[in-house]
Amino acid sequence: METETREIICTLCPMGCRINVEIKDGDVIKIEDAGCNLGRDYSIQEVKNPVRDFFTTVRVEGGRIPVLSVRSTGPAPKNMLMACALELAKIVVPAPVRLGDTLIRNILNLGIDVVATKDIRRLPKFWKHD
Amino acid sequence: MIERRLDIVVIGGGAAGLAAALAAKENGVDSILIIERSEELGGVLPQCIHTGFGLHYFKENLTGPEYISRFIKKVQDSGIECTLETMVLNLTLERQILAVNASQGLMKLQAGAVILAMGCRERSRGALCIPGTRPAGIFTAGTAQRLMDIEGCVPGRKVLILGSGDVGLIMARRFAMEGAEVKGVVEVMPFPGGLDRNLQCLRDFGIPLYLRHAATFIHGSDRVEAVTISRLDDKGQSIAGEEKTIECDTLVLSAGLIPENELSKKAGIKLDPKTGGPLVDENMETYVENIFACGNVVYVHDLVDHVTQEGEVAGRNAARKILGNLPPLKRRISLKAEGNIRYVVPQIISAERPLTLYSRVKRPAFNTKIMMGRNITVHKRVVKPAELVTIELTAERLKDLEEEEKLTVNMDTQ
Amino acid sequence: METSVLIVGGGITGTAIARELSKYEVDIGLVEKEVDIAFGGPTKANTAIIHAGYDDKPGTLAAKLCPRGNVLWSRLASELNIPFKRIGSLVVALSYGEVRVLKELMERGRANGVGNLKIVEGKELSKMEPNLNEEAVAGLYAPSAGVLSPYEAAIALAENAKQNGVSIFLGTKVTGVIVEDGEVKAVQTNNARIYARFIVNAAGLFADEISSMAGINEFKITPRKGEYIVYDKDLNGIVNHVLFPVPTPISKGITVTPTVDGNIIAGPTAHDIEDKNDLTTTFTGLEEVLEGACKLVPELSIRHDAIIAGFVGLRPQPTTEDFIIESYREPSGFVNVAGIKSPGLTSAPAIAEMVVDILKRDGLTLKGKDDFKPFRKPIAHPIRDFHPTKAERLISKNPEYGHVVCRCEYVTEGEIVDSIRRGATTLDGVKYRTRAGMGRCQGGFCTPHTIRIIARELGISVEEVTKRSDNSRVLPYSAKQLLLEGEEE
Repeated sequence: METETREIICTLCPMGCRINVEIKDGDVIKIEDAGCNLGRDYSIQEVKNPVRDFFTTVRVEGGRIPVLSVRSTGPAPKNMLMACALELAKIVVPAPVRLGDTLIRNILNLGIDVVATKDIRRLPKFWKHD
Repeated sequence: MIERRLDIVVIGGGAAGLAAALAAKENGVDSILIIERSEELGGVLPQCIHTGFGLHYFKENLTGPEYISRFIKKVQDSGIECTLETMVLNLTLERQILAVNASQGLMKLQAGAVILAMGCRERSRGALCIPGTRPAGIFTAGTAQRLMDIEGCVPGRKVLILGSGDVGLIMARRFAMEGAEVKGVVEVMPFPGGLDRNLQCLRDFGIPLYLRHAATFIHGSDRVEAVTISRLDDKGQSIAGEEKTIECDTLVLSAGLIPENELSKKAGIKLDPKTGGPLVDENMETYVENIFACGNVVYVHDLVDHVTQEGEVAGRNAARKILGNLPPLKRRISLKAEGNIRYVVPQIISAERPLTLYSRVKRPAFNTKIMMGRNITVHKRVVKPAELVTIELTAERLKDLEEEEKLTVNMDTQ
Repeated sequence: METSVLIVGGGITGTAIARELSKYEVDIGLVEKEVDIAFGGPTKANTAIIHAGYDDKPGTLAAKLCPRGNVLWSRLASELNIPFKRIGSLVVALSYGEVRVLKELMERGRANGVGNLKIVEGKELSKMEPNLNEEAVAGLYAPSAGVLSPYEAAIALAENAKQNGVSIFLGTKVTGVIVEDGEVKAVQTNNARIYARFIVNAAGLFADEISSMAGINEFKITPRKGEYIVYDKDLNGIVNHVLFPVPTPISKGITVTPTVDGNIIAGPTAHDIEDKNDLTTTFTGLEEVLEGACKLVPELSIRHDAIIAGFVGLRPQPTTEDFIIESYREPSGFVNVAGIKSPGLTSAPAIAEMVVDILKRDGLTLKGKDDFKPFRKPIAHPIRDFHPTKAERLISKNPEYGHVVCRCEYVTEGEIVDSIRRGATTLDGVKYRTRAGMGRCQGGFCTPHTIRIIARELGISVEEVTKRSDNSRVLPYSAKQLLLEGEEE
């Protein structure tokens, strides 16, 4: 099997180390230029099972603003990000919402929840609508 | 007309203003008013729905709304008075403020001290002088972010982003997650403008990054139809024949932030042309007595945690000034940025106590020395324009500071 | 649909004619192909100058109508509450050789009836313009020149015309002119056929095409592109008068002038192009404007940071050397008002008078209206034109006037709502009536709010709000729409 080399930018801290890994048969066989052990672990994870925390919005009904900012409580596999986005696109949450409220538990069976990151009060809207 | 006297008026209810007001209250002043022109407190934070906030201040990785909600709650709990959707129309050197809102009409306020916390605005397409048509579909990144994450719209379906600063990269990811096709991020420099780790946004979604490219023509009479980008040479000039026309319906501009100092200018507060913000001393006081400033209105910051800390310095010192226990600086040493140092803040220091200076460089450099005056040298492994460079004036270093009123801060590359 | 006089074109010429005709007991209609008045082009994109009238060749229509128009604007601006300032102009000679041209212009001015011109030099000149290029040798001073807001003028004329009974049809494009037995009978539009005894062609860039439809092919209109730069109001005061260089054969040159609103603009360039819809700014145009501007005001070379916008205006350059304002034996009933390039804005009120005379001569009975309403109510700008007592009174009556939406130009929600009630249906329509979005941030802060206000007032969804036409929706997709659409596929 061929050996692949890949550059992975670590996102754990502002150093942003550009870690160079050698991959063979899907396994990491060499790690270079990692600034710390957390970075080394991160680079292995990125190769084997890249995951991402994600944040987006969901639609709100009857709130002061029409969308609510949300975040995942843990990272999801990178290749499931759009699926999660789509899942969250389907729901409409009624106001009021409190920061921390769980909107979807165990989204797509990934073992992570999606929670509200702000309060949204019930109407009247900030802006007078019809 | 409503006329009031207040000890401290904070202009701007974003991260800087909230921190300043809270610090002023904690330091013994009760008569405080925060004036905010939007319909909610928090400045730009409520629309920054991504994480990366609070890593330093709270040792947690929070989203923008989560971060600022802690300060908003503290302000509410502490009973600090706020007035929303209120626009400050004028400020004088004697700290008279004229403001207006719908419910109360005009108000004239006399402040014992004023804290400027107006933040910044974005550079527009017009200011960038990008040739072409003037169609619908051109947005600055902050406006696009507000539209998407507060007002619930998707500004377009095929998006080109100008500027690889953090905001541009973050918006690339937001657009992709909302189902839009991000055609690319275009950057004039040969290096990305944002933190390296934010480049992950592009890699994750397969978004091309065009370094050393500039937008040279916008097409589309009613709505954006395409944008032509050109490769640039070393001098920043377009190379003929190296153009690419990218089909898109939306152009998002992340091309620079400008501290919003219209009020400061009206008042006659002296500005630093290099930062675009008021000249401040280490107490965050401007050249005008009892007018303080903090946050993006002074210079464009990278981290909100730092904005909060700076707001606290301004608020604390404004309170002490009101209460009569802020001693004047014994020395006023004026710092002048030169060479690769674009600016350094604060611009006036006393050398009485250790202090951190913040500066921004014009071009990246490696293994470099920053020199202050003749005697102080600070070694830096890596400096980049995208990241504020800290210069620690430790007690040790201050001992070496010469007895000058003006010092240059410059950089020497080995 | 039937009317006595149908005006084609809702720019400054068409609206001036409409307003003038509305003084008489006669049915008048005006058709404009764009979605709003002044959207057509030249009216909203020019140097906004009311010229003194020394530029034009004596004996031409322009030479006669420009000074007359200059005089008429005072009254018109005051009746209709159009912002207008008579700040005076200076043609600047940057070398001794150019002084000869100033003298020629002064002579020409005298021949055209502009008698108050004066050549100023030395200390007097530098006192008038401290930031003028030190190499300036002399200036031809015309105290009667001024600046006004051309789109606000057209909008005001249209509003007053409407107030006085003129029917205005927006989004209505003339596709044909029906001529029978040597007489015009009607225009065919994309919406309806409008029968009219007289057709007045004030169609600007497209006047030659409309004229051809009536069988008159005596002239062609070539678009002459002019690029402009707009500077931040910070630079207000850098010049006090309209500053011209010495003119060239094809244009008055690149001007640096204050606008009536307090910005500084520089431009225009002058290049003939083919495409009447080419409103693109260019790099070379930008460089040309800057070069010309810095020749007059060298300080501008270090103030690129103060540039807030660029725009393009197309002058409708006729193949004749002059305005074309005439009617014909055949077909009768067709009045061409074409080739109205500079000094078209200045001449507009005088052009309107001339058209009324032509119509009278050609048989239209014009009896003066007893109930003609010459005044347009002033529009309140409580914060922008700040007056504490007036502002307080207005805000207590209508709190929307206390909510500042466009922070750069201090435009309140009250003004935006008022502009929509007065006819704005698009973002640009609000912009040209209120200035919301014209400030240094170019709509960055206010656009989301303005869109919502338009949607609310017109009872449409946010997605339906356009910048200036049906194809220019600003926010076409609502939250999650793209994701959900993608799933359906």
